[in-house]
Amino acid sequence: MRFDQARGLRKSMSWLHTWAGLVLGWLLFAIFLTGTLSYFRNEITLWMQPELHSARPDEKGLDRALSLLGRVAPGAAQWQIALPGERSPVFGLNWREAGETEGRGRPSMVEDDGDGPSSGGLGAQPPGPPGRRAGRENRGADEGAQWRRQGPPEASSGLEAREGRSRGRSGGRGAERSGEERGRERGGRGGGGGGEHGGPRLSMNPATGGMIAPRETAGGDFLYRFHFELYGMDRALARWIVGIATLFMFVAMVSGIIIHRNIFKDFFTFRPGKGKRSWLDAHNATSVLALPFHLMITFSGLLLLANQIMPWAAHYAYGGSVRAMMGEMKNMHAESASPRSGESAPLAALAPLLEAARRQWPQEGVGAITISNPGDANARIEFRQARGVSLATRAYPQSMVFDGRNGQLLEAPRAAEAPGSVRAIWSGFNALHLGRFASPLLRWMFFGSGILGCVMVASGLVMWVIARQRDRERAGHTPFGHRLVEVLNVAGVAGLLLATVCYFWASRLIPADIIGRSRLEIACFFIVWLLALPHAALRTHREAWVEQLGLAGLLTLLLPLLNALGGGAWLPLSLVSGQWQVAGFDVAALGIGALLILAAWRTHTHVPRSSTTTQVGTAGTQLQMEEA
Amino acid sequence: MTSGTAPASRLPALIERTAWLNTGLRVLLAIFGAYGVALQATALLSVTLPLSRIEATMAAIMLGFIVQTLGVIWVIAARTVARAALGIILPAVVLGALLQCLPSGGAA
Repeated sequence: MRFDQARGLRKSMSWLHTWAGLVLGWLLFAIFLTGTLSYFRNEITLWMQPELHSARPDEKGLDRALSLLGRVAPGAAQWQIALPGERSPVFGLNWREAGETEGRGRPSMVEDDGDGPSSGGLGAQPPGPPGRRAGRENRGADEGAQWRRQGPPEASSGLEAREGRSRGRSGGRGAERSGEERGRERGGRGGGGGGEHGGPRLSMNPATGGMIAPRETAGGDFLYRFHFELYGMDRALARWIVGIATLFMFVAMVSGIIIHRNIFKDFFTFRPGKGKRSWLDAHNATSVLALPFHLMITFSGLLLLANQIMPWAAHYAYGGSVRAMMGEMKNMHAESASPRSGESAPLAALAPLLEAARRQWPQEGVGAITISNPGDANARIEFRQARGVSLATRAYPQSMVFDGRNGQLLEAPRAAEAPGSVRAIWSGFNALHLGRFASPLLRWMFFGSGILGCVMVASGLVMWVIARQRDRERAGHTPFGHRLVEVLNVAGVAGLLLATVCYFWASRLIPADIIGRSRLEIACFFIVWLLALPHAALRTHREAWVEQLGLAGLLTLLLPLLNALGGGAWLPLSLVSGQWQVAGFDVAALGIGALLILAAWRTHTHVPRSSTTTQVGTAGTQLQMEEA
Repeated sequence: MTSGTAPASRLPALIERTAWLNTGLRVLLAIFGAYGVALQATALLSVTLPLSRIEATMAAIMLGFIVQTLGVIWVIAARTVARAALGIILPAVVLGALLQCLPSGGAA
């Protein structure tokens, strides 16, 4: 298409769609894939820590947790207990010693966060913005670095240091109601301990009351972080890169919709085995089938990065203080910790209180328990909802506070303030993006939609090559640009799949007690990904696809076996004993592995129909779309 | 609009006719121009929308991404580079002027 010639809107938009999609397409695929896997970040971490697979639920778990805390942290100012739930089989225990103040009140749009002001007593200062999002404030990065230095000594990599920070913060007094990440950290993690031995966070087997020291692993958190912070670079810079890619994605999607006149017809159209036409159908089908999801995930991704990439609104409205805006956004309440009385008193029985809290939140459940001043007459017991009530308030879990001595209710759950409509929309987007919903079915549906998104991006990339088949025939050779895209497609799509599965393999093959294993796992991921590039360049296009997809498929298919041999709960056992988190991983691995093998096989046996169809059969991915 | 014979109009005509210049300018306008206008729009909306401050800010950011996307579409779809540029520069000037008039605008 030429801009200096007359052309219709669809033609212009087609150009826009093609190039906005291609330029950062490989990065977008990586973001989509790792982001999709992040919906099961806890489950992935759990799978990577087979030590935790032996944990079983038990009625008496809470009593055991209390007695364990009483043994290991008798004088602590505060205990925190993350209850096992549908996403974690173990109790997560941590505590804060008296006099210890920790950085807290760092609200964030993204749920984790880790950096931010490391100082700041309770309510002593307005809640600060997470430094890493305050891209324009270099201070943020400095603070992040400072935190990294101050991180728990056992943290051996940046990633773990961040883990440690979030953990430290979870360990802090549950002062602010932001709770966005806390709800998750406390309610949902546990399995996601990741690499900390003897630190302030313990994992406890509910059935035995014994501590479990899981192996150090980068776990699902690495994939999760990679999808918005990449790896090994300045976080603000990484967020800019991801933000720009997201903007390209959004533009590509909107222009793609404009191109589509027959959006509903395409929904039902699939003409397999017709070369370019099939690819187009597949691309359209995966795009349109999950279009609401794609639009939601992309737009909410922009909102989550908005402070970085669209900073002027907060800057103007808040007189230059992004910090102030973040605080207001999070609806933070500062609370003062109740002082210790000095008089000792036994703790009220927790079971009836827990029962009361569960009656209060029959749907949402209790995610975590915080006990301040345990053993003191002035003890407080706080129960926190596992997740918020409605989508619009999901980021703000409610809590109930009881007197620790007599079990009197001190603070009933605050009725969720009805958020304004704009705020409800904003929070709803974020809650959807972050998967903050109750139903496992919905989570799987989002996972499936994310996979469709991956196929959408990948098929779009492949189509760029296929659509230019005629150009290559006319030219009589493959221009460098075409070959470059071919190679990057193989390495960016099949290579990343291979790297991801090798990451899982590495987590089991690296000896469990080695120091700094999580860094080795990550190194394996990147080395495999990097090696995929020369491989794709040295082999023919078809060979490269077949070999990388086939190997990735084979390794994925064998993951359940690796799990069984590597000390984890093997599939029949996890199914029988109802360990759905572990079983889900293995079953998904079987399914995805089979699809990848099928894709490789179809590519291998694909015979180009005519000169106008592709000679590079990648029909397998197309098959996946049929499945979808 | 560039068909005049005056010397001043030759450059625009040259730009329109030279494919790489035409495309390159549009790409620059789409990437930086649309983003700039979107930033200005978010700033203006965040202080003028009749909502609470936090809601106005959120609404402004959400609308900002829409403005940016529409800006990109305009730049690519416009018949000529001149029209594409006008569609970016005119809003930029108007928004800039409005922002200057705001009492709190100077804070930036």
